[in-house]
Amino acid sequence: MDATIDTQQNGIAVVAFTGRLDFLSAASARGRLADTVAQGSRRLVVDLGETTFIDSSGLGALIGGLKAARKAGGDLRIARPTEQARAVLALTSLDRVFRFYPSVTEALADYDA
Amino acid sequence: MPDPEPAGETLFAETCRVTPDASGVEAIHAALDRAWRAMDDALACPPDPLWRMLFATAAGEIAANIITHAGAGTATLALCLRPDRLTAIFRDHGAPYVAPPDLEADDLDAPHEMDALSEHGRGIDLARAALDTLTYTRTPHGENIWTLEKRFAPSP
Repeated sequence: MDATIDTQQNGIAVVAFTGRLDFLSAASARGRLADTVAQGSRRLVVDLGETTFIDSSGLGALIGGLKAARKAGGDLRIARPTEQARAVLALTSLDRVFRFYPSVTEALADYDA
Repeated sequence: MPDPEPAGETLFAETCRVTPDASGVEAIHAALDRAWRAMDDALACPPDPLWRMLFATAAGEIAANIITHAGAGTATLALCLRPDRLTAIFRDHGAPYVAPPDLEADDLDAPHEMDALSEHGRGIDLARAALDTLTYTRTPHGENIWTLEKRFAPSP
Protein backbone atom coordinates (compact mmCIF):
# COMPACT_ATOMS: atom_id res chain seq x y z
CA MET A 1 0.00 0.00 0.00
CA ASP A 2 1.28 3.46 -0.92
CA ALA A 3 -0.18 6.70 0.36
CA THR A 4 0.08 10.03 -1.41
CA ILE A 5 -1.10 13.20 0.31
CA ASP A 6 -1.99 16.29 -1.67
CA THR A 7 -2.91 19.33 0.37
CA GLN A 8 -5.10 21.81 -1.50
CA GLN A 9 -4.84 25.60 -1.25
CA ASN A 10 -7.88 25.67 1.02
CA GLY A 11 -6.19 23.24 3.45
CA ILE A 12 -8.18 20.13 2.52
CA ALA A 13 -5.90 17.09 2.29
CA VAL A 14 -6.55 14.47 -0.38
CA VAL A 15 -5.10 11.16 0.79
CA ALA A 16 -4.91 8.48 -1.90
CA PHE A 17 -4.21 4.89 -0.87
CA THR A 18 -2.92 2.69 -3.69
CA GLY A 19 -2.89 -1.11 -3.44
CA ARG A 20 -4.17 -3.21 -0.56
CA LEU A 21 -5.44 -1.44 2.55
CA ASP A 22 -5.50 -4.47 4.82
CA PHE A 23 -4.34 -5.68 8.22
CA LEU A 24 -0.72 -5.49 7.09
CA SER A 25 -0.91 -1.85 5.98
CA ALA A 26 -3.66 -0.49 8.25
CA ALA A 27 -1.34 0.77 10.99
CA SER A 28 0.67 2.74 8.44
CA ALA A 29 -2.51 4.17 6.90
CA ARG A 30 -3.87 5.13 10.31
CA GLY A 31 -0.59 6.87 11.08
CA ARG A 32 -0.59 8.82 7.82
CA LEU A 33 -4.14 10.04 8.45
CA ALA A 34 -3.39 11.01 12.06
CA ASP A 35 -0.21 12.84 10.98
CA THR A 36 -2.12 14.71 8.30
CA VAL A 37 -4.66 15.95 10.86
CA ALA A 38 -1.90 16.75 13.36
CA GLN A 39 -0.17 18.88 10.72
CA GLY A 40 -3.26 21.07 10.43
CA SER A 41 -5.48 19.46 7.79
CA ARG A 42 -8.69 18.77 9.64
CA ARG A 43 -10.69 18.23 6.45
CA LEU A 44 -9.71 15.06 4.59
CA VAL A 45 -10.77 13.35 1.39
CA VAL A 46 -9.64 9.72 1.18
CA ASP A 47 -9.40 8.61 -2.44
CA LEU A 48 -10.04 4.86 -2.66
CA GLY A 49 -10.10 4.75 -6.46
CA GLU A 50 -6.80 2.88 -6.65
CA THR A 51 -7.29 0.82 -3.50
CA THR A 52 -7.47 -2.71 -4.85
CA PHE A 53 -8.68 -4.34 -1.62
CA ILE A 54 -9.84 -3.14 1.78
CA ASP A 55 -10.53 -5.27 4.84
CA SER A 56 -11.91 -4.59 8.32
CA SER A 57 -8.51 -3.40 9.52
CA GLY A 58 -8.38 -0.94 6.64
CA LEU A 59 -11.84 0.27 7.62
CA GLY A 60 -10.54 0.67 11.16
CA ALA A 61 -7.80 2.95 9.85
CA LEU A 62 -10.39 5.10 8.08
CA ILE A 63 -12.46 5.30 11.27
CA GLY A 64 -9.34 6.32 13.17
CA GLY A 65 -8.79 9.09 10.65
CA LEU A 66 -12.44 10.14 10.84
CA LYS A 67 -12.29 10.39 14.62
CA ALA A 68 -9.04 12.37 14.52
CA ALA A 69 -10.51 14.76 11.93
CA ARG A 70 -13.78 15.24 13.84
CA LYS A 71 -11.90 15.83 17.09
CA ALA A 72 -10.10 18.65 15.31
CA GLY A 73 -13.43 20.04 14.09
CA GLY A 74 -13.23 18.58 10.59
CA ASP A 75 -14.33 15.48 8.74
CA LEU A 76 -13.09 12.59 6.60
CA ARG A 77 -14.96 11.85 3.39
CA ILE A 78 -14.47 9.06 0.90
CA ALA A 79 -14.08 9.52 -2.84
CA ARG A 80 -14.19 6.90 -5.59
CA PRO A 81 -14.94 3.80 -3.49
CA THR A 82 -14.50 0.62 -5.53
CA GLU A 83 -17.23 -2.00 -5.73
CA GLN A 84 -15.37 -4.09 -3.13
CA ALA A 85 -15.01 -1.09 -0.80
CA ARG A 86 -18.71 -0.24 -1.15
CA ALA A 87 -19.66 -3.83 -0.40
CA VAL A 88 -17.45 -3.99 2.67
CA LEU A 89 -18.71 -0.64 3.95
CA ALA A 90 -22.32 -1.76 3.47
CA LEU A 91 -21.81 -5.14 5.17
CA THR A 92 -20.33 -3.42 8.23
CA SER A 93 -22.99 -0.65 8.21
CA LEU A 94 -20.17 1.90 7.94
CA ASP A 95 -21.87 3.29 4.86
CA ARG A 96 -23.96 5.20 7.41
CA VAL A 97 -20.88 6.70 9.04
CA PHE A 98 -18.96 8.04 6.03
CA ARG A 99 -20.00 10.37 3.21
CA PHE A 100 -19.17 9.15 -0.29
CA TYR A 101 -18.48 10.90 -3.56
CA PRO A 102 -17.98 9.54 -7.07
CA SER A 103 -14.97 11.81 -7.59
CA VAL A 104 -12.37 13.73 -5.60
CA THR A 105 -13.55 16.93 -7.27
CA GLU A 106 -17.08 16.45 -5.98
CA ALA A 107 -15.84 15.62 -2.47
CA LEU A 108 -13.74 18.81 -2.45
CA ALA A 109 -16.59 20.91 -3.81
CA ASP A 110 -18.99 19.66 -1.14
CA TYR A 111 -16.64 20.82 1.62
CA ASP A 112 -16.91 24.33 0.24
CA ALA A 113 -20.65 24.18 -0.37
CA MET B 1 -23.70 -25.24 9.07
CA PRO B 2 -22.30 -26.50 5.74
CA ASP B 3 -24.12 -29.43 4.22
CA PRO B 4 -22.46 -32.60 5.52
CA GLU B 5 -22.12 -34.03 2.05
CA PRO B 6 -22.02 -31.29 -0.56
CA ALA B 7 -23.44 -32.41 -3.84
CA GLY B 8 -21.54 -32.60 -7.06
CA GLU B 9 -18.12 -33.37 -8.35
CA THR B 10 -15.00 -31.45 -7.36
CA LEU B 11 -14.13 -29.05 -10.17
CA PHE B 12 -11.03 -27.55 -8.60
CA ALA B 13 -9.08 -28.26 -5.43
CA GLU B 14 -5.89 -26.77 -4.12
CA THR B 15 -4.07 -26.55 -0.82
CA CYS B 16 -1.52 -23.85 -0.15
CA ARG B 17 0.67 -22.79 2.76
CA VAL B 18 -0.12 -19.46 4.40
CA THR B 19 2.91 -18.00 6.13
CA PRO B 20 2.17 -15.32 8.76
CA ASP B 21 3.37 -12.40 6.65
CA ALA B 22 2.76 -10.50 3.42
CA SER B 23 3.77 -13.47 1.28
CA GLY B 24 1.10 -15.56 3.01
CA VAL B 25 -1.51 -12.99 2.01
CA GLU B 26 -0.16 -13.04 -1.53
CA ALA B 27 -0.45 -16.84 -1.55
CA ILE B 28 -4.15 -16.61 -0.61
CA HIS B 29 -4.94 -14.08 -3.33
CA ALA B 30 -2.97 -16.13 -5.89
CA ALA B 31 -4.84 -19.31 -4.93
CA LEU B 32 -8.15 -17.47 -5.25
CA ASP B 33 -7.12 -16.15 -8.66
CA ARG B 34 -6.57 -19.77 -9.75
CA ALA B 35 -10.00 -20.69 -8.35
CA TRP B 36 -11.58 -17.87 -10.37
CA ARG B 37 -9.90 -19.14 -13.53
CA ALA B 38 -11.13 -22.66 -12.74
CA MET B 39 -14.67 -21.26 -12.35
CA ASP B 40 -14.44 -19.50 -15.69
CA ASP B 41 -13.23 -22.72 -17.33
CA ALA B 42 -15.65 -25.13 -15.65
CA LEU B 43 -18.89 -23.18 -15.26
CA ALA B 44 -21.13 -21.88 -18.02
CA CYS B 45 -22.40 -19.14 -15.69
CA PRO B 46 -19.59 -18.47 -13.20
CA PRO B 47 -20.14 -16.17 -10.18
CA ASP B 48 -19.78 -12.47 -10.90
CA PRO B 49 -16.93 -10.19 -9.73
CA LEU B 50 -18.83 -9.00 -6.64
CA TRP B 51 -19.39 -12.61 -5.52
CA ARG B 52 -15.66 -13.23 -5.89
CA MET B 53 -14.75 -10.02 -4.05
CA LEU B 54 -16.96 -11.02 -1.15
CA PHE B 55 -15.37 -14.46 -0.94
CA ALA B 56 -11.88 -12.94 -1.12
CA THR B 57 -12.86 -10.43 1.58
CA ALA B 58 -14.02 -13.21 3.90
CA ALA B 59 -10.88 -15.28 3.25
CA GLY B 60 -8.75 -12.22 3.96
CA GLU B 61 -10.52 -11.58 7.26
CA ILE B 62 -10.04 -15.13 8.49
CA ALA B 63 -6.40 -15.10 7.40
CA ALA B 64 -5.88 -11.78 9.19
CA ASN B 65 -7.45 -13.22 12.31
CA ILE B 66 -5.18 -16.27 12.20
CA ILE B 67 -2.04 -14.27 11.48
CA THR B 68 -2.60 -11.43 13.95
CA HIS B 69 -4.36 -13.16 16.84
CA ALA B 70 -3.57 -16.86 16.81
CA GLY B 71 0.23 -16.58 16.60
CA ALA B 72 -0.10 -19.65 14.48
CA GLY B 73 3.03 -19.90 12.41
CA THR B 74 2.21 -21.38 9.03
CA ALA B 75 -1.43 -22.20 8.32
CA THR B 76 -2.90 -24.05 5.37
CA LEU B 77 -5.71 -23.04 3.06
CA ALA B 78 -7.64 -25.68 1.12
CA LEU B 79 -9.95 -24.50 -1.63
CA CYS B 80 -12.60 -26.73 -3.16
CA LEU B 81 -14.89 -25.75 -6.03
CA ARG B 82 -18.08 -27.73 -6.67
CA PRO B 83 -20.84 -27.01 -9.17
CA ASP B 84 -22.81 -24.91 -6.69
CA ARG B 85 -20.32 -23.67 -4.09
CA LEU B 86 -16.77 -22.69 -3.20
CA THR B 87 -15.34 -23.84 0.13
CA ALA B 88 -12.20 -22.62 1.85
CA ILE B 89 -10.80 -24.39 4.90
CA PHE B 90 -8.08 -22.74 6.98
CA ARG B 91 -6.19 -24.90 9.46
CA ASP B 92 -3.65 -23.70 12.01
CA HIS B 93 -2.18 -24.74 15.34
CA GLY B 94 -2.22 -21.33 16.99
CA ALA B 95 -4.17 -20.15 20.00
CA PRO B 96 -7.91 -20.86 20.01
CA TYR B 97 -10.21 -18.18 18.65
CA VAL B 98 -11.75 -16.16 21.46
CA ALA B 99 -15.09 -14.67 20.54
CA PRO B 100 -16.17 -11.23 21.76
CA PRO B 101 -17.61 -11.41 25.29
CA ASP B 102 -21.24 -11.43 24.20
CA LEU B 103 -20.73 -14.09 21.57
CA GLU B 104 -20.21 -17.78 22.17
CA ALA B 105 -17.29 -19.21 20.19
CA ASP B 106 -19.50 -21.61 18.27
CA ASP B 107 -22.23 -19.07 17.63
CA LEU B 108 -20.75 -17.23 14.69
CA ASP B 109 -24.18 -16.52 13.27
CA ALA B 110 -24.98 -14.06 16.02
CA PRO B 111 -23.66 -10.60 15.15
CA HIS B 112 -22.44 -8.80 18.23
CA GLU B 113 -23.28 -5.26 19.18
CA MET B 114 -20.44 -2.83 18.84
CA ASP B 115 -19.65 0.85 18.96
CA ALA B 116 -20.35 2.33 15.52
CA LEU B 117 -16.96 4.04 15.57
CA SER B 118 -14.92 1.16 16.97
CA GLU B 119 -11.66 0.71 15.06
CA HIS B 120 -11.45 -3.06 15.68
CA GLY B 121 -13.57 -6.17 15.95
CA ARG B 122 -15.47 -6.24 12.65
CA GLY B 123 -13.53 -8.97 10.86
CA ILE B 124 -15.49 -12.08 11.81
CA ASP B 125 -18.85 -10.35 11.39
CA LEU B 126 -17.76 -9.11 7.98
CA ALA B 127 -16.60 -12.58 6.91
CA ARG B 128 -19.87 -14.09 8.09
CA ALA B 129 -21.90 -11.47 6.21
CA ALA B 130 -19.92 -12.09 3.01
CA LEU B 131 -20.48 -15.87 3.08
CA ASP B 132 -23.35 -18.33 3.33
CA THR B 133 -21.74 -20.20 6.20
CA LEU B 134 -18.74 -19.68 8.44
CA THR B 135 -17.86 -22.24 11.09
CA TYR B 136 -15.02 -22.51 13.56
CA THR B 137 -13.88 -25.69 15.28
CA ARG B 138 -11.07 -26.28 17.78
CA THR B 139 -10.09 -29.92 17.66
CA PRO B 140 -8.92 -31.95 20.69
CA HIS B 141 -5.51 -32.00 19.01
CA GLY B 142 -5.22 -28.23 19.24
CA GLU B 143 -6.02 -27.45 15.64
CA ASN B 144 -8.18 -24.50 14.61
CA ILE B 145 -10.39 -25.17 11.59
CA TRP B 146 -12.25 -22.35 9.89
CA THR B 147 -14.65 -23.43 7.15
CA LEU B 148 -15.92 -20.79 4.73
CA GLU B 149 -18.61 -21.64 2.22
CA LYS B 150 -20.36 -19.54 -0.37
CA ARG B 151 -22.90 -20.87 -2.84
CA PHE B 152 -23.87 -19.76 -6.33
CA ALA B 153 -26.52 -20.72 -8.84
CA PRO B 154 -25.50 -23.91 -10.63
CA SER B 155 -24.89 -23.45 -14.33
CA PRO B 156 -27.64 -24.92 -16.51
